[in-house]
Amino acid sequence: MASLHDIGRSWFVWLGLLLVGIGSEPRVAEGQALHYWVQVEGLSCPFCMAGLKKSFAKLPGVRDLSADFEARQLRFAVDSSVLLRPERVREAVADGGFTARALSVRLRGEAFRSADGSLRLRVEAGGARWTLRLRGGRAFGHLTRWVAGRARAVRLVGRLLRQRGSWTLRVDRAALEPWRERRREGG
Amino acid sequence: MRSRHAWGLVWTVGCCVLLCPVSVLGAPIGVRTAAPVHVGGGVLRLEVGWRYAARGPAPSFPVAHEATSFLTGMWGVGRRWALGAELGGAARWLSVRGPGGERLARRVLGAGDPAIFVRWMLLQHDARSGFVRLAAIAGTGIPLGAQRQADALGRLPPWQQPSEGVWSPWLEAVLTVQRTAWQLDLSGRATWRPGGVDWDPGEEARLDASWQYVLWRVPEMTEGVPGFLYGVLEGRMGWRGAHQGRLAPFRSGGTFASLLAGVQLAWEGHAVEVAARLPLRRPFGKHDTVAALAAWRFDL
Repeated sequence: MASLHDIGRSWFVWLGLLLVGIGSEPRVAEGQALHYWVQVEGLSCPFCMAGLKKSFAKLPGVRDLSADFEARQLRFAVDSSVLLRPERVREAVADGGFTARALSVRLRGEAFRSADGSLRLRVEAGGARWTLRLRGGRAFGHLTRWVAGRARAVRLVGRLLRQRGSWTLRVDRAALEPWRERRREGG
Repeated sequence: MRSRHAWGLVWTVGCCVLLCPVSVLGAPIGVRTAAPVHVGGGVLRLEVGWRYAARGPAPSFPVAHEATSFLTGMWGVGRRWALGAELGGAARWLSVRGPGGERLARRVLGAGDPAIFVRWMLLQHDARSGFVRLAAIAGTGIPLGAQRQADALGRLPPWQQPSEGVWSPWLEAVLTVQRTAWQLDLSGRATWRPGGVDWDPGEEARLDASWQYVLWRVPEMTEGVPGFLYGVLEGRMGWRGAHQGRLAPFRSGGTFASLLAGVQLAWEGHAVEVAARLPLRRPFGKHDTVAALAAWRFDL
């Protein structure tokens, strides 16, 4: 009777495992992908998702596209080495027959003040490195004051914008809530 | 009695509509829609149906059974443009009253007229609460189908042939309104059928309305995308001109109206649907027709 060791040495078992590995879709592990969501006006059609998936498949590094019909959002992950241009997402949605509004992303990086006094976010992921300008509403000042002159590790959520050739993250008000709370508590 | 059943159906479906306000988009079954077709891809729909006419368009054709099939495709060539084509076929079994009053069976089988059409999106207004789209469709039926089918009793009259034997251009406007709790497709269509001396089929103008609502939701039918079971209620009303010419039946044309009720299961890239159409009013005098159909549409 063949032992497990013998079976393991059989070349066809290894070939089978290799084929299974090739056939399966590689999943993006936590921390290796940037998570995006795009507001799609009128998104409500499960049938149409096939067309949207085909349009999004043409974008570099996009995976795990899912739909939230109640929130009218498409959610997806992108390889962390790619920062997706909002206009390309808008075009993919338009090719799928709908209209995209805001592209949002969750980013983790170091916030720091640049020489001109504006707040920036340095993101290093997947061997790539980007620096984004940070903007926000009224509560944004709490984050600016907290960063002060040091680089601080932050996790932010906001709308990704491409303005005059440079990247900007307009931070969501809800994402600034911890710094507002900190300010209230006198931290 | 039948009218009471029809109103009962309307009442039941109406209650379902009010009780199931879910924010998703279905697709009409017997009505064209201005819903999107993605660029560089298409939608194919295969329909098989059965129709029964209790009394035919002329006294010599009292009973008819008909099996039909349609293959309709639509291809998104741009964000505003889509091209479509339709192929159809029919098999009819007729019970004819002979000269002595006896019943004779007749049969006809063949391809119907293919049709081509183009859809142009005139208006697309997408908002968070839903969308409004208005599309214009222009198309024509092409007389390439079977026009000379015959059986043991000889050649059948032109209105019983699978092909109408004439070009039939049409213009159509489709309005699709989708809101948080419902979707409505409205369509108005005018068809011309310029015929010859012996056979000139009547023109047609009709209005269609389709209402779709959700009965049941499958949270994740394919990866990241839910599936939905819809109830669909559709109404059709219109007018058809009388057939003209030496080969035309002695009585034809008039107003018509029908009601369609069906269910549709839609998920990512696929939809299957079954429906029944009940006549409320038909042309050809007292020619009553009921129809049942099943269809499958899928994304290409």
